[in-house]
Amino acid sequence: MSARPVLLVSVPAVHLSTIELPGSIYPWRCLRDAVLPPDLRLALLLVMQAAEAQQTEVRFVARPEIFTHGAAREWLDAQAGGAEDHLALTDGNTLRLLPGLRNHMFFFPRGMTSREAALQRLVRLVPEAFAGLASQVNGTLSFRLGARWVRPPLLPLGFAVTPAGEPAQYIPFVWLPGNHGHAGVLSEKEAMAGLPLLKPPHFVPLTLGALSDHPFVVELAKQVRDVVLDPAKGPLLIGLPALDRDDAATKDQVEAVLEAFSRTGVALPRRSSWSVRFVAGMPDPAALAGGRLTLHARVPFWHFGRDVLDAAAELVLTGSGTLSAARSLFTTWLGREVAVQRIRPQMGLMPVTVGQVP
Amino acid sequence: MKPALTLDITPLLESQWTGIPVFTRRLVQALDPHLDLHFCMGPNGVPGDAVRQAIRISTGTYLRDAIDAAVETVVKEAARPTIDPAIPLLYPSVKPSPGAAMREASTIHDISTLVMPDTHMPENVAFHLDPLRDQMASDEAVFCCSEATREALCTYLPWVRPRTRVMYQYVDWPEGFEAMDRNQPAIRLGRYAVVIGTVEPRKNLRLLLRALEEPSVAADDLHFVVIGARGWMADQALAQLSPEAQARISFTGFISEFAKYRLLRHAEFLVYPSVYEGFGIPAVEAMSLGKPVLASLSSSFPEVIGPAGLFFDPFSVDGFVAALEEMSNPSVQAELAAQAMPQAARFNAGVMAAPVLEWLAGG
Repeated sequence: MSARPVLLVSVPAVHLSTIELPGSIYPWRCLRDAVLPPDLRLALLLVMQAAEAQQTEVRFVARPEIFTHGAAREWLDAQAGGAEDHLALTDGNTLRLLPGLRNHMFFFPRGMTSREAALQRLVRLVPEAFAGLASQVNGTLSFRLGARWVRPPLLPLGFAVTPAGEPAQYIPFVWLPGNHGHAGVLSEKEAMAGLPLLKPPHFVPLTLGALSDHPFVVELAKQVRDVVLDPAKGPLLIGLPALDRDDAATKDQVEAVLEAFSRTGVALPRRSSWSVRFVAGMPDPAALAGGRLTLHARVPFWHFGRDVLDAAAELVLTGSGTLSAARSLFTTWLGREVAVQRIRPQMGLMPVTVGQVP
Repeated sequence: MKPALTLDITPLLESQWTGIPVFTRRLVQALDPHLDLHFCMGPNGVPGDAVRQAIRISTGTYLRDAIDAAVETVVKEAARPTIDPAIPLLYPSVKPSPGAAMREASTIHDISTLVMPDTHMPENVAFHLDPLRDQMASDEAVFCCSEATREALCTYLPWVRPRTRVMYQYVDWPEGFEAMDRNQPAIRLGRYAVVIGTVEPRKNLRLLLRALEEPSVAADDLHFVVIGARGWMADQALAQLSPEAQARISFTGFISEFAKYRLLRHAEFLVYPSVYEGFGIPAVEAMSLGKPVLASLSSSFPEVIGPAGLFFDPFSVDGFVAALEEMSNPSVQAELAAQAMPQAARFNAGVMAAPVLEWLAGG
């Protein structure tokens, strides 16, 4: 038995394959010193900070799925220091449960469309596993199971101070219609680690999920057009989305955003601009103070600490479609009301619905 | 009059029988004395004499030829027999689509595609998981290959539990192997242990490779013979070892059942470092030849190996080395070896057939 309460934590095993673990139960330093995707690293930092604040000891378990039964489970229980809770950090591919413990879920790649689709597929396959969760960290998962709605209770976790990561790279906006790949290459060539902003910016971090929200991208493209044509309306910072590829470079992230802009039909000026700039990584929190922060509903808001969110002059939650779940989550998580801007599809043209193939 | 059962023999169409095809073959042989067996491939009937002949010669090639010959013309195709939906239908693996018979059952070998998708190709994950919920919902009985598999399945689909039954498989070496082995020259490998595993994460051979550089293992003269292909991943892992450590391990590549029998029979023990198995038939194969097993403390291993083995944390080199040292003690090895054959004997054709017969009897 440990003197402090113990929390078992598991991460997707695919990230353990290159780490030489000392055993099935391993300490934080094994992950702390490992190469991990940024979103997983942030999720782990968040969990470790929360555990420290609650004076809880964290023990990581490599493959909880092999310890569900019999002698193997007895062994795990003997190593677990009396733990009653297990937090599974999931990328959506699987949900590892430890029967008999309170299982909690943290789906960390919020806004990664392929991961979100994988999670939804898993929920359809084994909804009972999700229905039994004691909580979900920073998530809004809900679903109907038979006659009842299931929504695992929210466990809000947040950073007081935005974690310092690699210095952000600032990249100018370059628009070459029909050649977004080359535009991405040109942009990346101009990347700079820091570039002074003349006034507080409007920062819009993106994910692939946000980019799949067409009305939102239309609005953003219009803002880009306006700022490029009239730099006094800037600066506009666009946070580059993480891509679901290990080999993705900054130019690929830029290309993904430009491709999304090209699908909006908004005519953008063929020129480069530093008034609109892309950001790879988390901008310096001081640079965002006094500015406007627009968070799409499918952005991992918990990447931002209270320092950034409280220092922003304007904080807006946005997206098309219903935003009630995201609003509820975000206001609960933040502890205060947040302005919500629901974007409606552009009006004017008659909607066309094709009911059947002729 | 014997009860009737239709058995889907699709796995037997594979040319080389390992894994689920062997399980299917054993299931046919276990049930044949007790039941009026019919065979099918999906909704189509398959002649019983073709299945039994394929089993006698141990290949799916013959069975495929027999089925293809039966449907080589449109007229013959139209006359192809279909299954009788009134006869209960058992799938020895995945049920691709439900509703072919009024009473259906299927078999879950493990749920690694659900809990360890990172160790499978996406196509394999989809093959097993896409039909899973419909499969379970339409099954009257769900046969699980071990208690561990049953518990794992019920963790995720708790409503399936009342339908689940454990179906253990067994080992059946051909009768002639013992005499054939006696007539072969002695194996000149010195002291060796057989290893089942590959470098892929789930099979966890990397643990052994890491352990080879440990002083106590390096000082020993035990050789490790890995049954299976070496592969480029193993080449990469081996390149990081010293030449002395590399010389301690060899790979057989694909070998015949008889070659496996001989290697196991003359080994000191079996090393089975796999992180997860639904049952672990290689462990029973080794035990049936009187060999103890050094295995991961994981999933079905404690249940299957029982008192004939020593167990280690599959992610701990220190734990593995300590267990290996203990197993290398002749008195410990002899004590465990004495338990091996009785433990293997717990898994026999009667035990495999029993849950199916109980299901058919309505028990």
